Amino acid sequence: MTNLDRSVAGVTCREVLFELSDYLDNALSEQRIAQLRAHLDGCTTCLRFGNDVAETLHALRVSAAQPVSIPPRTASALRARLTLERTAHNRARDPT
Amino acid sequence: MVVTSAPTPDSKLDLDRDDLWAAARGDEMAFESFVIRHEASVYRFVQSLGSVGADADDALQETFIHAWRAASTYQGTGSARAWLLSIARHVVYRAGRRHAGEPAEFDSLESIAQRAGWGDESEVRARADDRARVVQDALQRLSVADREILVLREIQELSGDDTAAALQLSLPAMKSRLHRARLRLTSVLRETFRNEDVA
Repeated sequence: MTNLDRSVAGVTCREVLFELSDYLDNALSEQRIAQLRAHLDGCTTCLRFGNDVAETLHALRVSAAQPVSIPPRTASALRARLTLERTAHNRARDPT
Repeated sequence: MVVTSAPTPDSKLDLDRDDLWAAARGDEMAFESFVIRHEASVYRFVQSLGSVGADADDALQETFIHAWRAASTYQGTGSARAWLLSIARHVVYRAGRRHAGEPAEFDSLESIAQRAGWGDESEVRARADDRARVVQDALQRLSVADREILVLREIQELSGDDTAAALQLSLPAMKSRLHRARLRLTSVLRETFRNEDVA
């Protein structure tokens, strides 16, 4: 394994590894993003790894992007159960 | 490397809040609107936690029954979808008597990253269509704790705050768990491709 303490552009590979998710989520300050980007520009190891993680997450999102519909029988059973629940609730509230 | 913006706040937030508060006053039509907006999302989520067939149907029903009964407790401070998925999570774990998403083991981030391929530049990088082909299977091979946080954040697209709320974690704890889960998913994909190369 390459040395995680290697410093490129004033940032170590370990720092990139620990902050990678925040970087991908754009959850860091602009200044910090610029610092990590400078490291990635000069470190093929971190760039390659970051791309692997980013592309894996992209694949996960794409794989789940198609609309989900529930089976009609499942939807009907849900409505029937909710109707029962409401009926019981209303009877309990107003026994007459 | 593409930097993505965090998921935007749920645009249905106000609508959900209004419907839940109306449901708390007994408005059945409002609750039906809420159900229509979220039933598919809940169904997918309970399936991702391992509920299949009749168990998934039961979990879906139990989730909305609990939501109907508890509508008055929704504070409106976070997204209603996160609140609802938190209920779904408890329903699934209670039904299966499973331990709610605690990581089974503690690995150092460095060791997880190594398994995910950090520092190994000898491998040919996987193509996007290959990743898409195997990623759902890889997701199912993760622990429940890893799977649920990835589903909430990446597939359900909850915000970081809402994901933390749904899992009853602090934001830093959620982010730490999410980061590890992302690396473990990358690791499982890498292992899948290596096995395919050997076969």
